[in-house]
Amino acid sequence: MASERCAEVEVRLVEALLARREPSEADRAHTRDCVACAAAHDELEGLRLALGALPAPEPPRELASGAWRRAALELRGALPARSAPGPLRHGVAEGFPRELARLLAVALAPLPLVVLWNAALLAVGDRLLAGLVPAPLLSALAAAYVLSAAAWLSLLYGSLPFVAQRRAERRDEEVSR
Amino acid sequence: MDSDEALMRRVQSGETPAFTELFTRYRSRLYGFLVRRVGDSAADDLFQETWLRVVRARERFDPGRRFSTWLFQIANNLCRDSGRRRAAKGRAEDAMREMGCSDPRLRTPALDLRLDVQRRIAELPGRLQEVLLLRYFEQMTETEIAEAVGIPAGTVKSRLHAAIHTLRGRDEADHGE
Repeated sequence: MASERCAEVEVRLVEALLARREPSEADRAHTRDCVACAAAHDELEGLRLALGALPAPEPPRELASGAWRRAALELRGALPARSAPGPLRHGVAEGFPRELARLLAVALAPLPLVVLWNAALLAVGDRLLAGLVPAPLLSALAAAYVLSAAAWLSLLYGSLPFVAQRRAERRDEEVSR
Repeated sequence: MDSDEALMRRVQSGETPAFTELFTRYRSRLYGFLVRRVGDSAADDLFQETWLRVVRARERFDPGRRFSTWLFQIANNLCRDSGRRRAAKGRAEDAMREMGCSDPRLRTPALDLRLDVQRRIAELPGRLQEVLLLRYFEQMTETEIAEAVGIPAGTVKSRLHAAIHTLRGRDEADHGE
């Protein structure tokens, strides 16, 4: 029966340790009289002191301010709230302007060359087909070519904000992961 | 002073000051939990991610629940999912750095005991470590831990005792669940 009592006392000593409180008076009295429980008590007391002395890590200031800023931006810009966690989908992602500027720079740099190339193509086509195709048909062909080129360029430049948003979202996800 | 849950209701309405208050209340506790759970470097990323998840999933928060339980549930799930549990040795080295005692000449028996406990906590299997950290350092009840971790309260109790058993240097298998 003594060992059963000791086992119960030890369970309560562990629970007191976990709850950061002193063992009950009855259990303390038992540990004073019982060699086995006194040893367990001393061992747990050493553990309690060691656990109590462990440092409490503080988040570095930059980390805390960065985490707060990102979450606050999400809170301000992502209304209404999402029902499930996931990548940024509402509002403008944090790095959107930078990504858009980069994509615009990449897409606009070759634009003069594209325009010149197409103008040259039209001029060559006009010269080659001038004697073979009636002038109104040639004009219609040239107009169709210009319109299709303009449509492709519109599609390309019109997609840039969406691509920039997606890239900025992906970057956000990588940073916060 | 508003309760955490009242603040969370205001966060659900998009109020940044309420979020700031919650962030201030919990930043140190959350960071401490993450550092003990996954180590310094992974903790930084998970700290940011946890707060982002809080904001993104705020509509799912039930004000009938405790905010702290929900917060640590998110953090613990991220720790489990991250797959970035650092090697225990690495985390023990983090602990030594944190205590400013990488120089063996500065070590004292009390410091060695703390380091030993820190190392043992880092070496605990994840299922024991999570319940121990939530119980001892966060002072959550067994019911709250059960909710946060997603296991029955009885299992929490047995895992807590197994964790203490292991910290005392006994074989975990001796204790069982």
